[in-house]
Amino acid sequence: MTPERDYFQVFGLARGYAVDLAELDARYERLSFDVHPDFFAAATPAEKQRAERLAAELNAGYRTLRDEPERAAYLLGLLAAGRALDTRQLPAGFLQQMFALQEQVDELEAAPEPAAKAELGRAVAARLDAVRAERVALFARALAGATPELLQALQSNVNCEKYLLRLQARLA
Amino acid sequence: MAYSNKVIDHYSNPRNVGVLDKSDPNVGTGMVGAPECGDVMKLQIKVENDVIVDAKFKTFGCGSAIASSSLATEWIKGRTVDDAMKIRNTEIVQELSLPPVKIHCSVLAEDAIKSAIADYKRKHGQAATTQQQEQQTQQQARS
Ligand code: FES
Repeated sequence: MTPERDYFQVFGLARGYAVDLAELDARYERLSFDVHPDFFAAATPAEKQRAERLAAELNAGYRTLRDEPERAAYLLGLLAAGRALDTRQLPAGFLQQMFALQEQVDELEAAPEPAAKAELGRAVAARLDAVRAERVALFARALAGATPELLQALQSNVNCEKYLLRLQARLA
Repeated sequence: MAYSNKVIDHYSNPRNVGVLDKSDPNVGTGMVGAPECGDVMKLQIKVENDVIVDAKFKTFGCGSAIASSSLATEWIKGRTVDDAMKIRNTEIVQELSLPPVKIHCSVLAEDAIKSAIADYKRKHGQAATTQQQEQQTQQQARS
């Protein structure tokens, strides 16, 4: 196993934010089959170890690429290639907005209003959609040429999603 | 994961939950978030003669974050601004016996204190500039 290969290379997929999930599933299944412990019952300890390492890599890679936020954070890490980013940065006023929305959820929990709750849920979903659409565009540009500004914008984008997902979880 | 008794105590009976008047020049408002989990925290201080005389918070977060901010407000009350600035999240971790996965929750509380103080100082700085400007205008008017 070459430790420097990334998860896209592990699965033989093109490096990018868009991943064909059916393709990823199929490749994961096939590659996992090849390193299944059953085939290594009679193998040497070194071979067994190698198969275990590969299996662990496949599992970690699969989990990462399967999940959009994880994939985004991972791809950003690859593109940043060690360059330091401000990992807490958010657009101006964003935290205040999140706080206000959290307070609204509190109010809706204290005095349930299904219609208002559904509306808030839609508003949060729309913001999540906007964040993800922006991410697709940013990654497309960053893959063509990763400038510090683009990388930081992506970091901020990834951060935003965390807060919105937190809200969405409360509204579910 | 089991919470320590101190966390449970602060969580079930949080001290100083509430709001202070944001527009009061003596009130500093800090707003911080943890991108690790998407939790948000607001912490406010009221300062008189450089001493924090009141503190309030509201946290949308896990039990450890609520306990950390509750403890933080207890600790900063009665301290000078400079003293409050010295509070480190590691002290909160120790006091509440937080496990490693909950360290970012205590970081949130430390950041909230700093953010509130920064806001207070900003207001203070601005107030000072306005005074200076007023003095200048008065001087210009006199000359
Ligand atoms: S889990 Fe995020 S603040 Fe505690």
